[in-house]
Amino acid sequence: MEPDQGKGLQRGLERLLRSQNADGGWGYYAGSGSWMEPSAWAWIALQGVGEDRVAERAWDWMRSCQRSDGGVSPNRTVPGSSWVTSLWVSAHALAGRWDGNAGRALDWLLAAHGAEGALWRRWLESIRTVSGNNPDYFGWSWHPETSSWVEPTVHSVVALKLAGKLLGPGHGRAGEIAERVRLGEEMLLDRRCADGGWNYGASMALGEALPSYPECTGQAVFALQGRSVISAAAVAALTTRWNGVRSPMGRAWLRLGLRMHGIDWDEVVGGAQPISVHGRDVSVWALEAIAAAGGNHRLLRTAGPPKTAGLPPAVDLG
Amino acid sequence: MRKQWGRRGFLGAGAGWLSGCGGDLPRWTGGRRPVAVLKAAAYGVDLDDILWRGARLCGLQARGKRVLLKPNFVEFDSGSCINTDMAMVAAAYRLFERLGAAEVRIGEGPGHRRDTMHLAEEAGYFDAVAGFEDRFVDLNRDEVAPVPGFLENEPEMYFSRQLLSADLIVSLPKMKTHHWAGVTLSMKNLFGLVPGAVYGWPKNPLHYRGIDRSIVELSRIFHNTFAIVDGVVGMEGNGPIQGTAKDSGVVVMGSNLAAVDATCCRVMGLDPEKVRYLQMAAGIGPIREIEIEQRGESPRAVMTPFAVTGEFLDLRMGRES
Repeated sequence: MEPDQGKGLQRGLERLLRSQNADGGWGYYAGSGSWMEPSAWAWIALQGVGEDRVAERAWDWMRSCQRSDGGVSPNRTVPGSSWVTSLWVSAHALAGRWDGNAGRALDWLLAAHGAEGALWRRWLESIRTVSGNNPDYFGWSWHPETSSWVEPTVHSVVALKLAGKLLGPGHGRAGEIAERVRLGEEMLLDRRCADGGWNYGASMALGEALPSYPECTGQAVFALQGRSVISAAAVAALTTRWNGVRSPMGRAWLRLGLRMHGIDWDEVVGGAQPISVHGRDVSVWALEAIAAAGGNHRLLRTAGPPKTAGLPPAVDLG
Repeated sequence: MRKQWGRRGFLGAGAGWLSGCGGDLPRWTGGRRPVAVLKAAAYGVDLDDILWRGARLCGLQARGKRVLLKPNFVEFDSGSCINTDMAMVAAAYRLFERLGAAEVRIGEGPGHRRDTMHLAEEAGYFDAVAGFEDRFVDLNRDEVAPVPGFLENEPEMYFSRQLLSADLIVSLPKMKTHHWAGVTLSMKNLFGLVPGAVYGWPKNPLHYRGIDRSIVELSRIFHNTFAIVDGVVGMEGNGPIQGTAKDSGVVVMGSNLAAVDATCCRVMGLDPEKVRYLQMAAGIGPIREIEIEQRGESPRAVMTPFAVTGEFLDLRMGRES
């Protein structure tokens, strides 16, 4: 049982350094085999903290997961490119180490999309009113040829924003990047739950409103940097909704998401927070370190202060 | 989580389908299968005794086996009954220890929530099973190995290595109605075996391949199974998450998942022969009453009709299709 405030950065970094696998990656749980997701977050957390050798070994492991189609597989065992391509692209954009392989990963990400756009799917939605989702807005799926969901769309939107920022408005694919970001953001807004937050990506089921989750809410807020959706009223609502949440992952994502809007979650909720009894999740360690005051959340900033009204600002390509 | 199953387990996992799943699968080609129905009025009764009697009625053997208990915890809502009750999971854990299992683990891969351990904590599992975190396998994010032959266009499917190294997988679902499949019982509960780290949250490839077909296919691949269905308090209506609690007062047990699910349907006042995935389960096991050897209570004697959503009204017993 450990407090999750105050020493998040140092504690998170120490845990990450201790739990890196011999191959350079990290598992979801310390001591287990390497996966792209925890490895990418750990790599981001460790940027600029004087652990260059550790970070470089992680970089090499991440690079080894790229597939011949340009996409990236979730680990070395599983063939086939997936949503983790977004994290891989973000890492390359943050590192500024953009090469042909990064370009191919960007191409894969731009070509990937949820299956909502298919005509049969639109027809199904129209007759069954399955989810209430607007199929005109599509984002990214977890697995190829399936539907768009909140979390893979969040990471893809952020990856494209970061890549666009690095490559600049004159890049040949800047227009496509901007359009996919716009569609992805619209999809996220369309999937917002009635209680003001987000869940995995279904705000309704059979006509009943579904509740939001803290981790997905933090993620969506993270992707929607610069959007007026995070108004003072929205923050107040989120605080009321999630004050007291025990999930370490939920708290980590709320912290990180709100940081992107200049909001310190711990200051907002105030006082002692409930503490979870479990704490072996490597991704959560990394996210806590990134979201901590002084953490690398600043590297993930893709927009300036939020606009206060209207539709989203133009994608920041400069 | 820290402790992995032994080296034997890891070595076996890569070829796990040779023993526990996939490969040349034994098909059910006829013959009655036993299913035990036991009364359990509340979670405070002596569940250890009830499960022990059920195991005896079914002839369950677990000595020396590595057992993985697969409860159903998909979401947490303190005011609802979504998950397999912690008392049932704890009693099942003790049952397999008493039966002489070499190891007993608990594994789950929730379909929507990423923070698996938090869900388990909120559902009370940490309090119910001593050392829970060391005995738990996050099936969404464990290391994985391939199993060949999952439906067409899918040459292989990846599953947790610790799952594949189990000798016996015990499906421990809640007795619930389901707004897509009609019911969710021991076979549908196997969706939680599919790793989110490969297939996502939700495990959308299963939906695209067809929920009913995927239910049957998972049951075909994982055939070294036993089922203990928590029907003490079930869920009716808009299940599996937004339904309402249903006091049904039973535990249903058996080694053939199709026969167990068919029996549960009868307890719920639903006709298993109208449930699509059970219609498709030929080769998995029997669903007709005459082909199931009912032990313990008669399903009719303990029947408590469950409400279903409009799309599934025809499932109710005595309704013409």
